[in-house]
Amino acid sequence: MAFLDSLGSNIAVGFATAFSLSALFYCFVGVTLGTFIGVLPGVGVLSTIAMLMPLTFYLDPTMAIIMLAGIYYGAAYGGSTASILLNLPGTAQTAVTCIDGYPMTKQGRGGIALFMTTIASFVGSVIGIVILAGFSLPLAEFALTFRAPEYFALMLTGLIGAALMSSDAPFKSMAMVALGVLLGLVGTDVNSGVARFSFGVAEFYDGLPLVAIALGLFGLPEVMRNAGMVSAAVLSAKDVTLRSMLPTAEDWKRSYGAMLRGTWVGSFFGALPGTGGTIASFVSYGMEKRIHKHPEQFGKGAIEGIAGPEAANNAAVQTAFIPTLTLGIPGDAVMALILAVLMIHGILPGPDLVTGRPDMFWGLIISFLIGNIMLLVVNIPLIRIWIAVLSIPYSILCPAIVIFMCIGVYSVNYAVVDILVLLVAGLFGVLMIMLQLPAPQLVLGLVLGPMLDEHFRRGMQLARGDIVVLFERPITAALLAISLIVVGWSVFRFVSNMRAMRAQRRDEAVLLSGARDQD
Amino acid sequence: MRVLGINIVELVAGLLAIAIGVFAAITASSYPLGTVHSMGPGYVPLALGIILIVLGAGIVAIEGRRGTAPKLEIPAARPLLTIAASVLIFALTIERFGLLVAVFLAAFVATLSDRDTSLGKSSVISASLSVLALVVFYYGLGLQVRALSWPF
Repeated sequence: MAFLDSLGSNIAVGFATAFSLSALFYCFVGVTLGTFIGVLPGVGVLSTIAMLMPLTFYLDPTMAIIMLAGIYYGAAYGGSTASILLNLPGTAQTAVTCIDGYPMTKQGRGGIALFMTTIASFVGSVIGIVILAGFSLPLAEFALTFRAPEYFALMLTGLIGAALMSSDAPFKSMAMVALGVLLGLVGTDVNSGVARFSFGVAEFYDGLPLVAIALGLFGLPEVMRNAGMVSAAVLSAKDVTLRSMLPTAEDWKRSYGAMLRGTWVGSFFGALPGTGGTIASFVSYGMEKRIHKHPEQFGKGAIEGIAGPEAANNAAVQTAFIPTLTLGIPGDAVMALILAVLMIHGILPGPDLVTGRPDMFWGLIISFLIGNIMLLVVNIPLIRIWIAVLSIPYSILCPAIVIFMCIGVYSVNYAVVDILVLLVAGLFGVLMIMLQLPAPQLVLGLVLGPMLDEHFRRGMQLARGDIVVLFERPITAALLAISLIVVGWSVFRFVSNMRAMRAQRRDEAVLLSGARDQD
Repeated sequence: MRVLGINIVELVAGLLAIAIGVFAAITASSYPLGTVHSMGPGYVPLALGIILIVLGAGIVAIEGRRGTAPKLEIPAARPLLTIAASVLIFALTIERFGLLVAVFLAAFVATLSDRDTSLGKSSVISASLSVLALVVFYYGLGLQVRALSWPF
């Protein structure tokens, strides 16, 4: 009962924070801007957040994170609009929505698809928020006992998970994590005062500019790829009336089960390190297709194929906050960015934030809820505006996005060097795409790098220099076991993939030689 | 495409990782390493450099040999160069000439990424963007930068 009482009073504190006029205002601004940028095809969630987050630097910390979270939801939501109407995934998370969303548009049911997306996003988010609220406090209280070895083990597990769970190329993925951590170490070492890898650039003594690197790696290559693109909306805003958007009774009947299943899938994958909305939406899609009586309808406009993944994606967005807020350890690159913004504002997420700053933590949770209600209320009437946004020619968007990035990066520290870092990171990002090296892993490593170094060194001091002792504590041992399982699973998958491919090549060779024999 | 039986994409990626690892390890060994008990600032970066070298070797030797070779796709030169130039111009002009000039020049160069643009179209877009930037960032958000300045 004591737990419920404290939960009740916490939620009351949260409402007091989140229902202030300014909180509502910034939540609204964040959601609207996030949707606006997220709708633009070829601008992903990560670029959207990186582009818009300098705007939050002008606000006080609580308002900043409320607005930032709004941007995140808006971006996640907006991405599905381009998926459904143009067959162009605005974000990776909503790529799966193209499969059935675009066929629905071609059948004249695009409005219904957009409407159902909004509803599914809302359902997934709200249940995700409830899970987030329920798990955070107990987890944070448990984590209060954590010391440097536990934090090191947690980060290591998170990084290994992030590198291996979502990639088919484990070495490349791990290499990018290592490179990210290395880049994260640039700057003055807190223990010794030595400036590492700064090469005499005074601006690097405080570390590399994260916003510039994230925007460079994700944003600039996206703009370069899309430059010269001709946008062609298949649907004009006039075609979408409120009436044409309303799903039929059958649509509802088919969707609600998919939404609930998607929500559970999403909540699970969102909370795990290294997996998130993208994986959750694909798993949910596969699940809906498998259990459906008529799986052949999928890919031809089956509404379950939208409702499930969209709910999964949005539930994952919420539960991804669990490790980020309660432990201070982000599970993916987007969360890493959000964590970094919090740190810029002087907030260090972790158990102390949850237990020591209930006004901020619960204000945030309640504002998540409000943000999602706003998305629902704002988006259904505004769908026509988002469709109109899709028809802005890229010849105007492209310079606007570049300028916005430059000003955003510059406004963080007012350092010209940061703009040059943006440029270098952008060119490196293009190179990474050519070499198929994953950029999210690099960003995650970059954010966790300094903390990993510090906790490792402190942990080794506690363990008197014996790495075995470091992993003898019960929690570190358990985490080590999890990491080993992930590594083992990844090796197994890699080997079986190789075998399958070799067998396939052998079969093809046999077929070829057989064909030759017949000649 | 394969070189010595290794996919070109993985070969370049692996060699890049190895090169960065070597560079990091050499640089890190110039910092105090400390002992395992109390590590100096060079310890972890040196370890990471070595890890990168090992992983780079893994990319070449293991990932480079599998399955169908991915093609090395060279990005289109025009958008790459114009957008890169646009960012560079912004960096060089923002503090010397102020927001209006920096945005105009950077936007103008960025519009050239579109093959079908014309002088008039680019000018109109760039001019509108610089006015918009002035209103939103300078007046609206109070960006600490001069609107217009002349260094000479």
